[in-house]
Amino acid sequence: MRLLVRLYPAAWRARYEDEFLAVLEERPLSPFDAVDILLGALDARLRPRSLAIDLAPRRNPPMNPRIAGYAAVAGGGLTLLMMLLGFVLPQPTNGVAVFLYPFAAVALLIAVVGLGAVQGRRNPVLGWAAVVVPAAGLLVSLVGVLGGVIGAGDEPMVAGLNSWALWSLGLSGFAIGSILFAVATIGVGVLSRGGALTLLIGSLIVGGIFLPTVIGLINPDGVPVMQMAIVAGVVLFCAGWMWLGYAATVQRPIASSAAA
Amino acid sequence: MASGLNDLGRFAEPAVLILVALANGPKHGYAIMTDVEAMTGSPIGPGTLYAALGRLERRGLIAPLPADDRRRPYELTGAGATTLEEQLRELERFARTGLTRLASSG
Repeated sequence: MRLLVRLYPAAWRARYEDEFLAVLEERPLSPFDAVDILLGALDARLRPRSLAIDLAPRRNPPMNPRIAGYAAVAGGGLTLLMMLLGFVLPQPTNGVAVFLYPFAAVALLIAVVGLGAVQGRRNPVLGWAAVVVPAAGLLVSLVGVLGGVIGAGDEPMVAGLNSWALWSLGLSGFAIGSILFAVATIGVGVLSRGGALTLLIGSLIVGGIFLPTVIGLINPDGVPVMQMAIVAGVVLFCAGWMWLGYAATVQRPIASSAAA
Repeated sequence: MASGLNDLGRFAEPAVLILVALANGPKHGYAIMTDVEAMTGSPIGPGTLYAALGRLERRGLIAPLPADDRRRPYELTGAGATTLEEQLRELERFARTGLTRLASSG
């Protein structure tokens, strides 16, 4: 079925492929349909000016979603590396893990804003809420980490909160924001729903188990199931962002119905 | 055929059927196919459907609406409704002429 559709010009497919495949999937393809599609593809190639779209060469995805996609892959990867090092290293808040966090946070900030802009066009309220909350969380956590790096220690930095509290608060905001982002992505359907579902599960675990552990509300010591859940949650959380990022880098341009 | 559809060649008839299918509200591709089949008893192929949709869209006789999941509905425009009405009036006159001739010969 997809092979037949690939006979159409690239610009035609950019505009119609999704809806055309949806039509074809509604019923079994008959020989009559196959011949009809062949003739339709021939027509689209021979009479491009008769169609509603200009058959210009297929363009790459818009730059912003691509940059945001790469940023999401980098941010998710760096966060995963940081967290894994945190599990392995005796003092995860020092050294390599702390050094990686600002890079991971900036990359994820670019990803949230860039990928959110794509969704915001479709569902402004949820789309933009899903950008503002995680972006604010990342910024607050970044301030907390940088405060720790410059030696602020336990001294209050902002609103009476020290660097550790700011980092925890910011990361909590980012986890909650990631839940919103995943829900918005599943609803809007512009980005990968598989990636969004992975991010949603990971965010729920990170927000529900990992962060309470970090701030001391839960003690997973001696509870292997909880430890495994934390590792799984962190991995899913990071994998979700990386998946969404990868999907954005290979995504076709969104067909503009306004061209009609 | 009405003047607005004269140059559509083999897609003129499918175009009219699509316009009629959209006359009572927006429909996506598969809904148009099933509606046409219900009206005429003959299926319209997916290649023909989208070739005709593209031509109607380019002429401003139909307009795409935001996609619902992957299915994109189309709606009749004002120009499309006018063209369809002209088309159906011509067919009506043609049918009346034919019936009158049949009656007078009998």
